[in-house]
Amino acid sequence: MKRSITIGIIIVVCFLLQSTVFHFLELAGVVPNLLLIVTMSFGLMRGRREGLLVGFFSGLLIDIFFGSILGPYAFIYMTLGYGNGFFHRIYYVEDVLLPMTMITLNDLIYNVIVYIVFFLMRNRLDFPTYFMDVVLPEMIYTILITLFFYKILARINLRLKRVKEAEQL
Amino acid sequence: MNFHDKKEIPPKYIYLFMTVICFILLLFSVVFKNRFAPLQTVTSAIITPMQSGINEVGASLYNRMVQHKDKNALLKENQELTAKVDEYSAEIKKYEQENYELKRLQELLNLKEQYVSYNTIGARVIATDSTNWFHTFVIDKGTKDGVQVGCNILADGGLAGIVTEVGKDYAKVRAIIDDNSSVSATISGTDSLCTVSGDLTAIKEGYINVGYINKEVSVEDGAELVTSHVSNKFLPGLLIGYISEVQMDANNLTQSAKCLPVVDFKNLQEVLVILDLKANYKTDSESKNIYDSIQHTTGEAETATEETSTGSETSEDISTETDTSEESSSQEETDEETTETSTEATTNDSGDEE
Repeated sequence: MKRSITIGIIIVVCFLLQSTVFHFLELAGVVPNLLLIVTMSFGLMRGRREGLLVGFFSGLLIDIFFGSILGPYAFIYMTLGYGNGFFHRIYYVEDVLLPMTMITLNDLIYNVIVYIVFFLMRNRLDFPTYFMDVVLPEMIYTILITLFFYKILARINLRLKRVKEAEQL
Repeated sequence: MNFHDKKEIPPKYIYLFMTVICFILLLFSVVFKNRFAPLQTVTSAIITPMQSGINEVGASLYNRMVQHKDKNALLKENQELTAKVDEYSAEIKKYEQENYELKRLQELLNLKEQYVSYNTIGARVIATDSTNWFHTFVIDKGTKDGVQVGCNILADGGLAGIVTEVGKDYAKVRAIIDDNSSVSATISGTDSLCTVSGDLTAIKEGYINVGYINKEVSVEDGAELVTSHVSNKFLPGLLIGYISEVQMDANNLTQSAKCLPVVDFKNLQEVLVILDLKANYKTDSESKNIYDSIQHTTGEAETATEETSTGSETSEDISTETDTSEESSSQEETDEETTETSTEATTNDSGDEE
């Protein structure tokens, strides 16, 4: 219970930061994808189940606020969270390379899916330009943010785990 | 809620189940357009106040950062601005004169006032799209203040967007630079219609695309682009931007151009909402909208001239010509008006902040 509340708060805070403050810190006209970092981190740290649930609610929040219909972002984030859960097996706490690789892949897949669903379908075929203008800057910015944001999330996760263990004892 | 317990259902099934939920949500929100309004209202009731709070803090920090420009730059800017004020006051004089002339001519033609002043309300931008693919934002005024779906949004004296969704105390706005946005426009001074559509790759370079300009029309760089009277969503005569780089299309039938929007979308903090909708838009004449009223009056004028001097086509031509010139000059006037009101609103806001 404590865990779900904490994660809920993390999602909401990240969404708020992403939609408000980070717009003042734009680099090359993009904002980092904090919610994707959260989804990736929990998928990696906790496995498929939690990854997909965190992803679902993150995406749903974006759908409610900025989408014209409900569902697409929830589905994309959920799928990514679920996919990351498979790498839970080779995850260990001190590893930095794995989350970095994962966030790069995640952001790439996420943006390509968004491009296909919302742009290619409307006959916007110029993918290289979109890649250079949107996808690449967002990837780089998100990776940079992940460098320290992931550590915070990992610490929160560790804390939650300890609290849980203490309760069980 | 203990969803990481190993004894529970395997994640594979949860994933399938949630996927089904996603698609049901998708289907329902397409079929029943406004059924999810309660869900949106509840979440926004929680999130919106937080957004506006955080945004205020962020904006004030950002503004403080910007305020630390060096003194020389400010002095220089001040000089430039004073020069501009002089220029503008001269221009206003000119417009006043023209306005006087217009009134006189309108009286002559029995043409009623074409442009009524709109009811507006100031609003703050509290959240911007969290994806990097679209340009939508949320403002802190909703149905409580009379904002409805389809209200036009102004900023910096130009058209910024249109309300696409509205809650009790928030409204979602699609900016005109959004990839999904397209606005019917006219080039000020001509009658030709064109379409202004946002483009993600174009706005990265700071402009929006203008298409479907008639090939017969010669457009100069720097011509004003205003919303047209035929649009059923945007009020007529709102300034969009300035045209540059006019090109003939490959099909040799239409021209396209680039348009530099007047609104600074990067630092959008305060906007002006026009509460009047185009759907209810009426001039004080009997006709439904400007377009009708123009046609109506020109028709009248034509019949009048026909009655007085039968067969003199030249006088008819002259009368229609004066009509169009009046139309354009009055459009420019409303632009002036809107810029004035918006600057007033922003100064008021800054006053409140201090």
